[in-house]
Amino acid sequence: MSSPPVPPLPDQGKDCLLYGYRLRSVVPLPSLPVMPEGGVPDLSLRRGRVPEQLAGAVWASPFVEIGGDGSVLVRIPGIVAFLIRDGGCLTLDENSNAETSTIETFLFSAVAGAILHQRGVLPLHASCVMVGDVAVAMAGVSGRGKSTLAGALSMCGHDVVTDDVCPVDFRDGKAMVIPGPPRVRLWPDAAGLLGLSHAGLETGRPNHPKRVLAARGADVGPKRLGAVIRLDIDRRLDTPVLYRLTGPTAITPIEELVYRARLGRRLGRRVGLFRDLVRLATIVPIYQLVRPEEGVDPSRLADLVVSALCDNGKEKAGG
Amino acid sequence: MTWHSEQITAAIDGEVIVMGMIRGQYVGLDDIGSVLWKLLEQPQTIRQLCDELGLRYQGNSDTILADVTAFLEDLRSIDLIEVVDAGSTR
Repeated sequence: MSSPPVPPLPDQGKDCLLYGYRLRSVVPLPSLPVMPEGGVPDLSLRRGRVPEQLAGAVWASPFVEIGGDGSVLVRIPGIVAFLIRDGGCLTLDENSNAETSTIETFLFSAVAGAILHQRGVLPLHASCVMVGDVAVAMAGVSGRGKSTLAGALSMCGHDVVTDDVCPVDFRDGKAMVIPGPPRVRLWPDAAGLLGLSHAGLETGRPNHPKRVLAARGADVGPKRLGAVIRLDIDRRLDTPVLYRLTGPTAITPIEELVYRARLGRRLGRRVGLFRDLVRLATIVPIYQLVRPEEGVDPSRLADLVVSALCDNGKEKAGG
Repeated sequence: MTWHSEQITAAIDGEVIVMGMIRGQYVGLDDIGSVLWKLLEQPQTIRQLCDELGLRYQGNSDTILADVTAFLEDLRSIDLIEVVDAGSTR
């Protein structure tokens, strides 16, 4: 993966693994694998002053700002704030008294998205599990059922590679997924569909309805991406359908495939994201899985996902 | 008409996708659109494009003219092609 300058290091803290990067953190992050001592960190997380707003901001959304120097401010008023600089220097607001679970939730999502865009890595908006010896990414905007499907596949014995943010690295002509924390965040109705007790699951953030399903994770090494399955909903359908996407439709709309695509574009990744997605579509088969809005057993969708990988394998064997 | 200087072109499964580099607007083209796009790499008049399509595809010349004009208007409206001097056309 690309290597911007090594950020200044905090004086203390253990190194852990975040989306393939060695993160040296003064904040406890119990959900992340701990790394052996002695390596040079790619990322650092310290507590410090985080501004209310970025001076000379070039772009702002309700919770995210981009500064003129490419730094990113993620601020959830009254809860938590992070400043992300140079693709690896992270500052957690010294005045934030957010619980560890809240810090982790934002670090693994919005903050990670900013890091990846700053470093020029393609983050698919996808949850990803292992099917056989390859990873399959289930992509789509929020509410399409990515995590529910990953949860269903996890309960069928498939290792979870990452949830919601899916970094893809291109190596030796292959697309490789960099694993994230092995957990899946579920809305209450999704937990119910999977037969899980909502009350029995941990919370990702206090007073937030989403719950965390701790899943069996894949090992931490990069995984070859075997397929991307784009999720969609069509109220007119009675039963889910899966089909291969070809041509430009495989990667459009770009905003539905890339995690926080607008942020990435504003960080100078407009052309890079386009090139990466074209590259992805030439290496990896991309499918569309469309389901009715309600009344579909997640295990039925999970079977369709697995069948896509099997069919792809047959095509390769036959061709 | 010809390609806008600030665009990037790629192909997926033989079909063309074009993105403007300033605003990030993009469009995916079908078979015929991809043929027209490749011709537009060099400056073309509307008549030249229609003649090329008439040689490759069966169709009423008025229909071809209407379709080509609409195609060019669409691409120009999102700054993926631009008008050049008459002297630049072949």
